[in-house]
Amino acid sequence: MRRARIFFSGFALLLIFSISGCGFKDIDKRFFVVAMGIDRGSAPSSYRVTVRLAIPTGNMESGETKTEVETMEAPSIAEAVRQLKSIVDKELDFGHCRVILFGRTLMEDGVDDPINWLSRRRDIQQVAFLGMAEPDAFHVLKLHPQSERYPGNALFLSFGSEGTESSYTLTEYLFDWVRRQSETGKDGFLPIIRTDKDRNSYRVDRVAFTDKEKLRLCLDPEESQLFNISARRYDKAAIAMPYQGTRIVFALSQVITRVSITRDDVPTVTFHIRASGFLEESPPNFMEGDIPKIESRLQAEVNNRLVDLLNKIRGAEVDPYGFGLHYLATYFGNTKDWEHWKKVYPEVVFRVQSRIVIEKVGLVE
Amino acid sequence: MSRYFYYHVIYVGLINIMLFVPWTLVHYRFNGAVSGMAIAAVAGTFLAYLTTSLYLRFPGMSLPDIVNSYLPRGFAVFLNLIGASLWVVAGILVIYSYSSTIQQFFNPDMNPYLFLLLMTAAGVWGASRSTRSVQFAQEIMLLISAPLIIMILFKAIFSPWLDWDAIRVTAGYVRTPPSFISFCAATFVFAGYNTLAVFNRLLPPGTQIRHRWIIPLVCSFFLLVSFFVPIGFHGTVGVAEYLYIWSVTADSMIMEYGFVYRVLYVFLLLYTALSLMFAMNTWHTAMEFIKACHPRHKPKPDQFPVSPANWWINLAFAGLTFGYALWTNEQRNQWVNQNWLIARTFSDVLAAVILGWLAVKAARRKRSPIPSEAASQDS
Repeated sequence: MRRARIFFSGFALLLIFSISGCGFKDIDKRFFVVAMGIDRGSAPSSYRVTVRLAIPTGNMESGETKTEVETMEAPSIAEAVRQLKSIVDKELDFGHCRVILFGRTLMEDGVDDPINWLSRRRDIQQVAFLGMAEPDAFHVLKLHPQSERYPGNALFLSFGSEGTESSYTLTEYLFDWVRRQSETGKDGFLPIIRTDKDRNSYRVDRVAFTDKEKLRLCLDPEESQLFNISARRYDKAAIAMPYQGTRIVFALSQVITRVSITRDDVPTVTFHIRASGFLEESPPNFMEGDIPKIESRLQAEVNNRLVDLLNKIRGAEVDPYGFGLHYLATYFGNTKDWEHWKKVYPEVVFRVQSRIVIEKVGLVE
Repeated sequence: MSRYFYYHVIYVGLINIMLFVPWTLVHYRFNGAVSGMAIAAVAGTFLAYLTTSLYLRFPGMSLPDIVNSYLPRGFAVFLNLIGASLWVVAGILVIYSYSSTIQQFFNPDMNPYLFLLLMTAAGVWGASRSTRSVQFAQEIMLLISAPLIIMILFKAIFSPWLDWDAIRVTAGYVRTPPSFISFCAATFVFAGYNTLAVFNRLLPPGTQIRHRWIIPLVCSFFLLVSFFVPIGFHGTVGVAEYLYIWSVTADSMIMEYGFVYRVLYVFLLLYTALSLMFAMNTWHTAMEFIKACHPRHKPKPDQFPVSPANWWINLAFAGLTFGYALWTNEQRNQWVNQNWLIARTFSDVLAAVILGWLAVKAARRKRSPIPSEAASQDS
């Protein structure tokens, strides 16, 4: 028994020795990539990869963070990353890469190769935020906003619900976009990131739609917000419209949507949306005006704008709402139904039935 | 006492991810996986009820003890060796796929055999304990992992990014004729009752396993989650592109206010515990099958200190694991996994048939007026 104990203590010690030998590098010998951008290169079918690297520092003051931007062109992304490693002094680590940007020209050409690389690399997070950079990823990544508290966080606080929650900013994760790239009856969308005019902040208020290959349509900010509300049920948004010479701003607090699709030869898609909320700006003496009238005016406004948006998206032959998938899901469709849907989608009729409920009128009458 | 039985049901139900069950099912998702799962749920429940009832007719006896006392020696040894090989392969497959997952997601530069060494060392130590210790270790580990299991399951099911349309589309393929391999893969989720093969020794005579409806309920839930949640996260088409399907699914969830941002790491931590538990159990069971082949074997579920034979048998299992890791690659590993799942389904049915036959035999012997020699072996 005693001999066995000695033997096993020796064995455990041996295991400890072997641990020091494996591939871990110290944290001060690593460069953490906080954001990454992929653009078209200057030569045909080459890529330009830009990485934003965090330089670890002791102090945590806003605007004091140090980052380094490196860029490299190569015939493939993997080669570009390999070459990037040769111009930095520390090991590149993609484990903390929270934002991945595609340049606009790359999106116009198609993004099959980048997707392939991103899904093969096991160290790229599936929950990294994706975006399309205008005019290109390099210029967006070069920007160094004053508000950054730690490297790169201004960029990823724009997305998700950690930092600012803007109804114009859509959030798209890598895994969601990759699935949309192959899914039947559902296409991808990407938020568009631009640098602000004063060159001190990012501007994320538009959305781009892609089909299975490349960029198809970009929406303006108002339409992007409507898309965010209707497709992603985003409820920290507002709907504004003119009313009796002033403007009514209806702030949402809850959005419920439901889509029903008929099984006719040319299906009719009925989009039900129920939004409740309160008025942030309303005409004076609101209590005397009647709420149902304002509600019906708002409903008519939402119906019109949403039908226009749906028709515009259909006209670009993309389906970011996933109507095709929903059609298949509703009728448990197979390949034949899918072929039918693809054929008739350009002629599909959209109807919107909105229900607006004004719950509160704000603190004043 | 029956709670110990349900611990087995739960961790076997969860470990299916490491045996490529979701991967197999996803590959047949348009060709009979869903209908195979539906049939497997019925068959698995039926087998679970039947097998547990049969074991309870042999109080305090493990499957090797039962076959040893009722069957001719050569045949009994043959059955025990089949049992041992099936059980030991289960442990090897889980340890191998867990260590290759870890290598993929933690540190690809690491020597793959180093992690295998750590896992097998822990497995050898755990499995060579006495049956009672193994059972207690199990309870502790499962209770420690329970919060993680619940958290990941609920995070997955209630995630706003889970696409229910994709799940519905796939569920619609229940109308396709079932595929055999998906049926076998799906029955594995229900296979927790099999651990009674050794742990029946610890159930005191007269024990009743109550609330057996837990088996169909919990196992069907695990089966549905492990198949449909990856589809909901990666789409009806995209889901087939991934090899480590659940690791990627866990990586698609985030904890914004958690101390670890990526759920992936929590998931891998949980599966460290579950894989070790599974390896410990399967190797312990395989070891007991092998020990029962000895002509003068006496079951000692509470032995302390354990006999050196325990160590040697488990060290041999560890050696086999290394041999397997040397021989295998991704294609071979999947081939072995699928064939193991098929073999396991047959052995389940076979075990139930043999047990049923022996139960009838035992009842006849008891009724016969002449006290037979088996009665003395029985005690």
